[in-house]
Amino acid sequence: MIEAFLNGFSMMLAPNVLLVMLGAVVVGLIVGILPGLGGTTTLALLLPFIWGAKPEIALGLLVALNAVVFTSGGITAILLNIPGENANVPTLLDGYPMNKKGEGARAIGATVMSSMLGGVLAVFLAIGMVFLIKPIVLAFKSPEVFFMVIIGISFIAVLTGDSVIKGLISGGIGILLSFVGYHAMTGVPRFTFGSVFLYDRIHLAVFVMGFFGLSEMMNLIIGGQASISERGDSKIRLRDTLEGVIDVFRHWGLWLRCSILGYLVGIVPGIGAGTATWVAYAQAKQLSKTPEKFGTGCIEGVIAPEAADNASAAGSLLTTMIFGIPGSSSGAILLGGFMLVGVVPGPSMLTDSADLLFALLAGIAIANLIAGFICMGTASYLSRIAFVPIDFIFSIVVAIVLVASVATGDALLDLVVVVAAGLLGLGMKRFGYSLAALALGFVLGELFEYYFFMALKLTGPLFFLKPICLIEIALLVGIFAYRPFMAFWGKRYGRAK
Amino acid sequence: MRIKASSYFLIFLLAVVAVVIVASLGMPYYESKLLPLIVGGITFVLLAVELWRELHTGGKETPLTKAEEAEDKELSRRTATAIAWVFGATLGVYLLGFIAAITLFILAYLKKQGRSWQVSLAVAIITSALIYGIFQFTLGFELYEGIIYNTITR
Repeated sequence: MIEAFLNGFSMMLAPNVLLVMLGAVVVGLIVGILPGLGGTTTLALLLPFIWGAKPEIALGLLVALNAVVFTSGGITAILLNIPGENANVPTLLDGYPMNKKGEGARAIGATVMSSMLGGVLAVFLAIGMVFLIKPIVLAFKSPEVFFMVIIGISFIAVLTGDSVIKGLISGGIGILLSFVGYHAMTGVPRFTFGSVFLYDRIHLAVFVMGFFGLSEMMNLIIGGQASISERGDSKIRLRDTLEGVIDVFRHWGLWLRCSILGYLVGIVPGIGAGTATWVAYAQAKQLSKTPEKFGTGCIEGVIAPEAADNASAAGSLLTTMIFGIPGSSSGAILLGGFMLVGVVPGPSMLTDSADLLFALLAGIAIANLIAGFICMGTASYLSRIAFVPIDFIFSIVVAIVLVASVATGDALLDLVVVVAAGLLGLGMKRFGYSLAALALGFVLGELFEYYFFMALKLTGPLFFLKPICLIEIALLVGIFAYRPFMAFWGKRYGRAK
Repeated sequence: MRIKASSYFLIFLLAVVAVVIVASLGMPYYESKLLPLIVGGITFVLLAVELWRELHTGGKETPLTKAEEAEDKELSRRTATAIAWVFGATLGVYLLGFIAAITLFILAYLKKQGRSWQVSLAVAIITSALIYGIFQFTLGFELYEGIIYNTITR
């Protein structure tokens, strides 16, 4: 095993592999920064280029791209309020307000360092847990995953925004939106009202671009600001980025907790980084001494989801390799890529191809380091976007969002979706609803329904009586009891004083 | 009694969720309608509770001062302007295609904001060229050319 470990690492440290990884990081960063063209698209576009390549070269290219797109996705979330990947949505809740306060470089520094270290730590966790992963993954069947999804949505609905009712309304509307289109189980078209375009569901990336990006652009115009940043001073130095880097070490406990949490959520098949980042954000807020600062530009709100983000990517990749079950759409493309070069995922990876498995893990660590240093070097330049006059930003971003929506969704009617999502986002923002809860409901709605019926059909109507499910239900009760309990505790404590 | 704008938004959401519930009832299999009915029903009740709370606690507004009224009007004007620009750009794309509409949209918007012709034109052309270069040339996406162009060349 030690030999396989050393072989795997030396494979990835070969100069030609490192060069390919460097190239992949640069390409991934450039494409990842464009709104709407996230990691999945980039991976899909580059898949034909690995045909016939040596496995270590192909693995290097794929894992490097996979690592950098999550990092670059966090940067666009901070700069423009447009997440590169669904997993980056929680980052914008505090990252974008920080950018508005003129702290964009600091937020990017924290994002990059948190994801870089999270990704590297996850690799060591993966190496340590390579033989423990099987029982963990097998313990999570449909009922357990169903409750995980409910916990994710409830966390955000209850914890974001001032009103629990508005949070739950947002989450409910998000789930209802995810029901639009063909129902996979019965083949019934739901809420399509005769439109063939809607049969294929509302495209998530298109919706998110409109809901967060377009709505924020309109919001900036309505607010009459001169630039995204509300701070006049446009001097951004490397020192600001380093401040963000240091913030991660200042909150090392939070970073460690979220990295481990992200990794553990990542290894559960079918969940992915999209849930891991929300769970990390919610628990960071719940355990914070100053939860009221979350959502206003709080550095912990950036560190938490980004640590979970890359850590879950590593966890998800391990499940993909050992069980052949991808945790996300990008995982599915990676799986296809591995098979293209003759690497067949499955339990035999632990015995016959252990060196390739370790090479893959080494690749994730190296790619995270390369991506981290490149992003850190460019952060102070990228964050200057916050000081560009708003009329330039508005016109250019609206143009890019319109093009990217059609390019991503591959239909002209996606223009209607992106504009409608923008108007909905604008309304919800203006009247104090939780955009985060709606987005999460929309992201997880399909899984919510799928795992509900799987659990019902495979385990029967009493599926919630399984031990892990009961623990999850207790956690769910805790989430809803949290606010009333804290209010009661505050009153009692106040009186005692 | 003046009803708040947020109450109108709630009524709109209530109507949408009501449509979802009614549409769910007509679906053929229980698997297809069960969760839309449960989630839709819960959301409807929550919306109704929120609307009731708004109308009974903060729904009735005290008369606005002249300054507040002017501020309200200005906010509505800006909102309508922002939405109009986005609608205009979208309609432009449908009629003229991406490259022509985006060039015109950026040029018109920047000119309206008081930028010089040179700056407006330069930003419009550079952005359109970049969009063409990245999306069509590099990534191979076929950029839509507009209904007018398609009708003429058909």
